[in-house]
Order: sequence, then structure tokens, then C-alpha cells
Amino acid sequence: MAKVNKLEFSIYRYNPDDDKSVYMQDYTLEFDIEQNLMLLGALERIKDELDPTLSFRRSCREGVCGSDAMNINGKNGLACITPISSLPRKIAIRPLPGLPVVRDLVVDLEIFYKQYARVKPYLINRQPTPKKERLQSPEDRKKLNGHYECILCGACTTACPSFWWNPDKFVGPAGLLQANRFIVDSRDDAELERLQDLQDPFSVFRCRTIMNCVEVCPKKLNPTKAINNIKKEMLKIK
Amino acid sequence: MGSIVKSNRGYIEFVIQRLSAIYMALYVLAILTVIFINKDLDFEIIQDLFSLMPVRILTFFFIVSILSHGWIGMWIIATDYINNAFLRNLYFVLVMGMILFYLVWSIEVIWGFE
Repeated sequence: MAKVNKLEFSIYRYNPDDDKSVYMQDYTLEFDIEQNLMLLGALERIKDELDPTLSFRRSCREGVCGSDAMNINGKNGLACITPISSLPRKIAIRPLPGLPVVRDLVVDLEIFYKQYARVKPYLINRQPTPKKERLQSPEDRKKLNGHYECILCGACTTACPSFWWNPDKFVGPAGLLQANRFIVDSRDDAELERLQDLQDPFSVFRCRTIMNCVEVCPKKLNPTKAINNIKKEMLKIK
Repeated sequence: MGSIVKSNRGYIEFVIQRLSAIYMALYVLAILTVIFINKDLDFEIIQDLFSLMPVRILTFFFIVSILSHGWIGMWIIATDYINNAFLRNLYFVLVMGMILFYLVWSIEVIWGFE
């Protein structure tokens, strides 16, 4: 016989067409403890069984697409890889902080992607195109580890107070992780240009090294280390 | 996004903050060393110490380090938390006024204008 347990959810609700202001709505869900339910599964069950109007993003359901990043009991994370067993019986779910809410748990990520685009997240190489490919030594390739794994879920950037206060000027941890990914790439020859583009008081220097980004990254990456590397590389410019 | 101005001001401020912090730490260590070495430290010894021109110059640089470090920090706080342009500019005027006051006052203290 299945062991049934009850979960109490308090979920942020806002529909700009109908609601004058945001509110938290409570739901109670019964589930089988032995099911190893993930939070995304619980949200889908709430939507299917209790309230079809609840809105949230989801796609791959295995921590690869980054669609279902949300604020879970005050900490950003991916619902699809957060086991219910790791959470208390009362679970408060809110959208990612610091971004405009489109509806319920769905946020407008436009500013996040604009900041990402600002760092030119692509290889710039002005050398003649080789016949086959641009080779890279295993040592140089290793430098990309800890960068390319980012899934752009936005959990880190929206956990950063510097981004909350200056989202139009501070690139944010996710964007800066990618900036460093191309700065350290041996095949990229725009390092100087990339570093000079970030030397204003906001783009990178608004990072106060509080490491919220490291704390919440669902892929266990370290944007703070990448940001500090950008600062170190700037110091090497003659 | 049009509000981002390409400049190296952030980088310069970052370097100033680090260098001033290192200088302040060294100065404080030097003063503490003097205090601990001189067991019979009294007003006259302190007065003699600060009458030396190198000490006065080093102390002046210490004051400049505090003030420049402080100004950068206060500027950052304002650009994070004060969104209203009028209030932010008022804050800048007040902080800059305080910094200039402290600068003139510390020069007076170090060199003792009559």
C-alpha cells in the first residue's frame, strides 16, 4: 500500500488581465512518498488536478533546458531537479525575483537575454578560416570547463542584488560567465575588445562578490570565479 | 540598454579601491607598530612623530586614501539604492561636501594652520 503524504503549497499568482495585485494561493497535494516526485511533477499535478489556470514554464524536465527556474522557499532553483523529499512540507513558490512577471511563475526574460547578447557570446576570430577546424590543445580546451555547461536558466542572475538594482547596466553572473568563456578561449582573438567593453562602473564591477550566484546555480557552476578572472585579465592589459 | 556608456571608469575605481585599501592597511600597521614599540608613548612623542615631514605626507596620503575609497563606495551605494535623480544628486553634493570638508580639516590638523 502506498505511503501517502500531504504537501502544502503556497504559490505566487498574478494574472495581469484579471488581478489588481499579486497574491499567494494555497494548494494541498497528496502524493506517494515512494514516487520520488520532483517539484515540477507536483506543479504539473496541481495544474492537472486542482487548478488549470496556474501558469509556469517547463520543457525538458531533466535540468537541461532551464525553463522551469523559479524561487523555491526563497532560493532560486530548477523545479524539475528539485526532489520533493528535499523540501519541507510547506513549500512557497514564487517567480524568479527582479524580473517583470508575465503571469504567475512566468517572468519576462528580455533584459536577461539583452545582457547576455551584450557580451557577444560567440567566437570572434579574424584569422583566415582554416580548411578543417580551429585546433585547440587539451589544456586550452580545459579552460572552457565550468563555462559551457551554463543552461541560461537565469537562477544566478536573478538571485543577484546588483542585477535587481541595475538590470539595464550590470551584465549579471550568467552573462559574465559567458563573457569569460570567450575571454579564455584560445581560438578567440577579441579578448582585449571584450575586456574593454566591460570596464565601465556597472557591467562587471557592480559584482560585490556575495556569491548568491554560486549558491543557487543548478549546474554547480561558479560565476564569481569567472567574474574575478575577468577583473584579473583587465589588470594585465598594458 | 542605451544607458551604458563605454568607459574605463569602473576599472580605474576598482584599482583605486584596492590600492587605497592596501595603503590604509599598511599605514595602520605602521602606526600600531609605533604604539606597541613605544611603551612610554605620550603626547610629546606623538607630536614629535607627526612633526616629521615624511610622516605628515604619509598621513596626508592616508586621508586621501580614506576619502577616495569612501567616495567610490558611497557613489556605488547611491547608484544602487537611490533611484530618484534629484535625491541622488543631493546625496552626491552632501557626500562630496563632507569629503572636501574632511580633506581641508585633515590638512589643517596635519599641518596645523595658525
